[in-house]
Amino acid sequence: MKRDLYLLFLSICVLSQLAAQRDSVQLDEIMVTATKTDRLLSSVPLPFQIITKQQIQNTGGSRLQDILSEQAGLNVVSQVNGLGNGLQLQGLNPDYTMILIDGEPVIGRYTGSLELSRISIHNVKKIEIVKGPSSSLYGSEALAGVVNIITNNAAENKINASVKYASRQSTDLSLSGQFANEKWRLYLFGNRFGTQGYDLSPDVYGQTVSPFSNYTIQSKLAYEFSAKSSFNLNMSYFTEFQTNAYHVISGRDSIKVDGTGRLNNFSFNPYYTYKLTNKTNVVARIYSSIYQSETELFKKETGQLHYSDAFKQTFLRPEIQSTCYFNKKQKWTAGAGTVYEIVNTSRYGDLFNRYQDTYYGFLQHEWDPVDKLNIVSGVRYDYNSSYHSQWSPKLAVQYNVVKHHSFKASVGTGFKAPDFRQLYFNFNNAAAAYAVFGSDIVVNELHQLEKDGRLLAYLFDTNLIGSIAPEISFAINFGTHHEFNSHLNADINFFRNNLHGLIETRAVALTTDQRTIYSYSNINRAYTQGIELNVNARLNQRMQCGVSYQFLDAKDRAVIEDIKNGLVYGRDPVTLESYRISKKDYFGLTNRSKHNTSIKLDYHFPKQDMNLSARLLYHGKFGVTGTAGNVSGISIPSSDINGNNILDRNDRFIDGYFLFNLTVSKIWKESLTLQLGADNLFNYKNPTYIPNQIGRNLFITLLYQFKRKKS
Amino acid sequence: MKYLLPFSIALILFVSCDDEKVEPVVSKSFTIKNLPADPGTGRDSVGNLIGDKKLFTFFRLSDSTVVSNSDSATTKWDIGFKGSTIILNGGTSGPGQTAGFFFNGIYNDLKEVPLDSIFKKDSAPNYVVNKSWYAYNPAAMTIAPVPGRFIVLKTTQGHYAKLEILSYYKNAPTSPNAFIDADRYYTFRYFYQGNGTTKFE
Repeated sequence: MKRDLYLLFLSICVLSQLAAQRDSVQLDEIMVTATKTDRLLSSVPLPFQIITKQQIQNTGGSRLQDILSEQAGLNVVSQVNGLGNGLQLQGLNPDYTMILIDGEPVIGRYTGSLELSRISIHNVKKIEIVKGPSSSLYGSEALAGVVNIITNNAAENKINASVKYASRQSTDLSLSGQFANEKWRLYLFGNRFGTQGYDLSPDVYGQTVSPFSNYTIQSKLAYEFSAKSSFNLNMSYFTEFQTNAYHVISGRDSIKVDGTGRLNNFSFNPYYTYKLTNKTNVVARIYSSIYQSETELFKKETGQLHYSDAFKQTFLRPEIQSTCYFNKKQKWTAGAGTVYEIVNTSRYGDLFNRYQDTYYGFLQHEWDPVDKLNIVSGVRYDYNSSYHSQWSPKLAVQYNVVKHHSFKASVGTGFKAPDFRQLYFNFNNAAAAYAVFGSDIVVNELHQLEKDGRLLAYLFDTNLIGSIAPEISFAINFGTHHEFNSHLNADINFFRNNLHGLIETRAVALTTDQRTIYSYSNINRAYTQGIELNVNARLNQRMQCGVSYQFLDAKDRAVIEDIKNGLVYGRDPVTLESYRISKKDYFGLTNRSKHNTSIKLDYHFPKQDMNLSARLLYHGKFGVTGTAGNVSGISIPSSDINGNNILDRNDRFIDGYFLFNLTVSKIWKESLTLQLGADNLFNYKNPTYIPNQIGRNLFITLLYQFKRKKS
Repeated sequence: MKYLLPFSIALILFVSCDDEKVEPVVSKSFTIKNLPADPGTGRDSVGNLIGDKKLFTFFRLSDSTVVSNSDSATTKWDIGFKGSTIILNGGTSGPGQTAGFFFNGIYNDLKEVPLDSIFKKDSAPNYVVNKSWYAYNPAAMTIAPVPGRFIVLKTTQGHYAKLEILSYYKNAPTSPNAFIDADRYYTFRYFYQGNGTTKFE
């Protein structure tokens, strides 16, 4: 551990010796995600991050988590079941970050978390990340921020193909074509990804991650009627096949199961853009998406059905948005739309459709009152059929003190509506003697139990059972950007998110046969705060490096209050006697490192036309919530070993660790690229606590680009 | 019954007192180590208990003595342990009048039984010392006594005591491993006030 820290320190020292120029992200580039309008990066008053196509290509990643996990301010964390990849932004859980592809939300979350490995990045032009609540434009879910994956558009006539082969017989094949003339533009993309999975505990039946393969097909068609109007149609289809084999140990049960899983996602997004006047344009769109998943597991010995799960979500959203360039200094954007959502799943105990409608409108004002100052303000109103309405305001200001030095500050609120699971979940685990009911059905279920004389006691205020409201955040971001010279620049951003009414499962009643009934309630209050620091430097034309660091402090405010009141205790590991926990002893929320660092180095060999990209990532120590005997057989022991339900200094933490990723590319005549790479070169593994950490992954990629010469 | 004798001998070896004075106990602190609570002969590879007797270990606080199972229907014992189940000799659990409640706080800080205390007796399946004395870590399959929570008791004789469970594992390891450390062995400390007052000093 000490040696690791020393290495980290040494690398920072070495890197800080290097001076340099701006990263490949230029401030005169355009960003759309922050304001839903085209805006120069240099005038975006919010904290943001851009991942360019070049960066994606240099690292050789193939799925979304590959590239996101290399950013210090972003954390790829496992889902509730201990596996999978969700995105944590500013220390907030994956549930609170909206993930968009070309501005449209990706649906199909599992217990709130969106699986990043569903998304291929071979078709990505850039990824725009806005940090801090963005509900004033995007509504529910955009509480921590927004990740917008912008895919390629057809600009010229060319074909790209790539073949990647990696450890564990993983293959990744991509083919894309761009076809463009004056009126028509068509982009087509296809990808197949397949892996044999991996096994971190070979003595247990089945693998840690079972084999799966998936296909992505995308088409983007654009037609320009005139300089004033154009029509676009974006479509994508995703399908995944999983071959599962698990050893499920739950309590005293030990069952071997086999089965298959299947995912489908189809999205259809036509939109029409019309310039009303020189100053006003209108976009009308109807985005629809259908997500479906099915899993069946059979007992290996008897062939009996052990577990089955079916889930279908339909999302339909017509929206109209207009931007008016009022004058040179002011821009107004207004939009309105409706979201129709239908969910149908075996998880709710029947196969009825559940509906939720949201009606919304938003207004935004972009204003440059004087040269050095720009102000963006906005507000959105959401009316939802299942819970009360929501206002989400936001204000952001940027001030350029001098040419190379600017300050930004923003305040805003974000919210996340209760999802279908929290409203309708109906789960009865007879073996483990508990049941979970969504807030919409729990009152009826309890009344029924009471009528049957099977209810022993209420464990929660009966007036509060069944009532649920959106989770709310109030956030402040404050930062500064400084360009020391053309070779060296730095950003620093402070953030604080105050979260209210976080939805948690809570024991609400006890039955006469000693079953505990759980439901969802707005219980918790928490905060996340921290500092993000980025330094980019270019030593010379060949070498460029970046250092990013995030300090994160994320805590449960109820726990802090209890500590203040002397109500939280720990157990001394030596004397075994209880003691009062002090504020200093409390580590904070699980699954979060206080310190995260990434150091990136790019080196270009011009003569050989070769590129070397090295990334060193550090995640500081953290603790985990326990996961016991889930359906895929994953059990992760909780870090809390002294029974006080919080992480404190005497708990069992996972030590900080380093990952080192290296990619070398060689380019021939701008058309053929050969790439060799190693992710997690030092082969860090922690099978018990981090089962989604795969170990060393070696890969070789061949990319080919064919361009039709302009005639 | 034939198992009890070796158990009792083992207990006497394990039980340690703060000093050697035997009679009469007026008020005293005790620390009991490795009191077996029907541990059987261990667990199999998937964690099932083997060879358990399904019998409580009965314990008397005044002289920290294990009481024979043949005396289960007497008032010779105050508290009984079987696995993670803890009973008090009273209510549905025994013929005695032992009653108690959980107290949340620091054991050493409680110098006197609070005036507003409500002593309750076992009423199966609602035991005074219910499951909330421990926190279960389902993936690690370990039991940890909840820190800052101990039991205040009033025995059949009307004597008060406070009792804090320190560990559920043999030799009280700091971070027990369910697959290595033997469970169903209690380590606890208690203070027994034999003079009928409510003072814990």
